[in-house]
Amino acid sequence: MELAEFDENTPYAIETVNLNIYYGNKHVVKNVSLRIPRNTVFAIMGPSGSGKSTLLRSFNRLLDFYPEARVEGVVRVLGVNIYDEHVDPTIVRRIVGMVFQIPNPFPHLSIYDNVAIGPKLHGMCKSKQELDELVKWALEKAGLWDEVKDRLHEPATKLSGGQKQRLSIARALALKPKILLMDEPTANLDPVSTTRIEELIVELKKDVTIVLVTHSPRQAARVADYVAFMYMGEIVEVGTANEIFTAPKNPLTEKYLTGVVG
Amino acid sequence: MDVYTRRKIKDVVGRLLIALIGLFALTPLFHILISITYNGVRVIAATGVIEFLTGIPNPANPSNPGGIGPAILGSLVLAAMATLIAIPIALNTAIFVSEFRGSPASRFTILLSLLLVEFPTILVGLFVYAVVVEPMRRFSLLAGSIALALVMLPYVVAQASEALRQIPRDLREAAYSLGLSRLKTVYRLMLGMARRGILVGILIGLAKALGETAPLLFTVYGAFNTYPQSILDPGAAIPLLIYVYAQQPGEGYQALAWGAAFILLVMVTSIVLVAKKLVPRVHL
Ligand SMILES: Nc1ncnc2c1ncn2[C@@H]1O[C@H](COP(=O)(O)OP(=O)(O)OP(=O)(O)O)[C@@H](O)[C@H]1O
Ligand SMILES: [Mg+2]
Repeated sequence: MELAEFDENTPYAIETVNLNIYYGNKHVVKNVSLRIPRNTVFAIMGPSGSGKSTLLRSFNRLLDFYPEARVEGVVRVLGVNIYDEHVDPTIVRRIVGMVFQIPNPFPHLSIYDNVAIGPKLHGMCKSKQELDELVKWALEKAGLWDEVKDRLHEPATKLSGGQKQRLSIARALALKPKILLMDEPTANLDPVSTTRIEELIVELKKDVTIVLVTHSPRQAARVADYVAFMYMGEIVEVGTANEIFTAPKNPLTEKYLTGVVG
Repeated sequence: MDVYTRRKIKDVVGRLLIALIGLFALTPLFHILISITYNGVRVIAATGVIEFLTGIPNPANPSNPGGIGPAILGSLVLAAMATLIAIPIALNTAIFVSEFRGSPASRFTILLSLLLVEFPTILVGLFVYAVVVEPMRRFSLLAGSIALALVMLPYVVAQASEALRQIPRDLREAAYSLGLSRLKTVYRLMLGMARRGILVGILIGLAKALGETAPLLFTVYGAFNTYPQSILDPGAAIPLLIYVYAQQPGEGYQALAWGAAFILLVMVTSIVLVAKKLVPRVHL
């Protein structure tokens, strides 16, 4: 399979059809059919345990590493059904990057190497110079370049929490993904760092489609174009951020947003 | 006297008693350390440090018995080669054990590795004699290194697999999410993350291997008086020299054995100290 199979011009970055996910015989994602328009910020909200992370991990086939997980249905990424037999999951994961809840740069690598490792191991750059430029580009995109340009070769562990998270974003961006999955990326950050990341998310949607899991209605309101509300494995409501926040149709959504559910 | 004072006195007496018992138990150890240091330093000082480290034994002259150069070189070569042989095998075993943890094959490997720790090292020597020395029809440093590699192996496997196991799941997921295969993730990232544990395993294994005599008895033989020309030559090692010379009548032999014992003590202690420094709670 080739990177070129992904069609960058499909209207939907991700499309799921009757997606069901089980851990053993526990049914955690139920009949989800979603369309995530390209170059938007698509927020997924919902109470703890409703299956948000699981759904997210099915978009880049990260569930492959959970032996007990079983996926049924269709997930199309830029037109390609990624659960099709001929699909190489490592290529899917280059198109669909991911940022996690706990900032997780590789602790034994320098700031530079954290960003360079992906492109290096995928053989993306022909020269050191090309790699340097890619690293710089990714760090700039993640809004970290100015803070680290003079200490690229220091260990990543020296960065602050917010900087570590932006480094994780840079690491993902260095592979030039088309989609970025973010699972509660600011849950462990202070308000200032959170604001930086939110600004970044809005900035990034020019280049990538962002699927953002968040517990914060305020955050979703600030950055999201669309919001899906998930409850016990089902998507109970999807709409533009405006619709969801001004006139939720489902009583569960309303209760969650006003802090009654979850 | 009130209850509290009495309790306090009891407590102090108890502690004192425990300290005394501990001291008593440790006395033989102190005795060994002190007598090795005392006798060893005396011999080495009389001969001269350089001469003792590089010279050829001359046990006929007890006041200046020469040096143990070939044995020291032998030990260094054996340690280096054993490490080179043990590392790739041990790391792949550790990766196998930690990646397929819980599988029957992995549990069997762990068992095997535990068994190897407890395995009498003389049998390791015999085994290598049978499969290397006999077919090659010669004692050699190579055969000795293979035997010592087998001694080191389980220590490296244990520390490395533990270090790999302790890498948090989210770091693995981060690597996978960059499109790295499981193999690339392990070999290109996780080994690096576990490098401290791996190094500790190597050092502990080395400390054990350096002090071993039994695996060398049937493999390197004891060429104490000549420097080996290649790894296919018979050689010597410090513990082997101590073992052989300590049994010889003659003050010169005894002197060389004391000096050698001190050198070995210094080598092993410094390795253990480095390992300790790397990880505060090393299990030896
Ligand atoms: N590896 C697993 N094996 C079995 N069950 C799991 C596993 N991972 C998650 N679950 C269960 O699946 C359900 C959905 O979990 P998931 O992590 O997707 O929820 P979430 O919406 O992301 O929750 P949170 O907001 O707390 O992160 C939960 O009931 C959880 O306990
Ligand atoms: Mg979650």
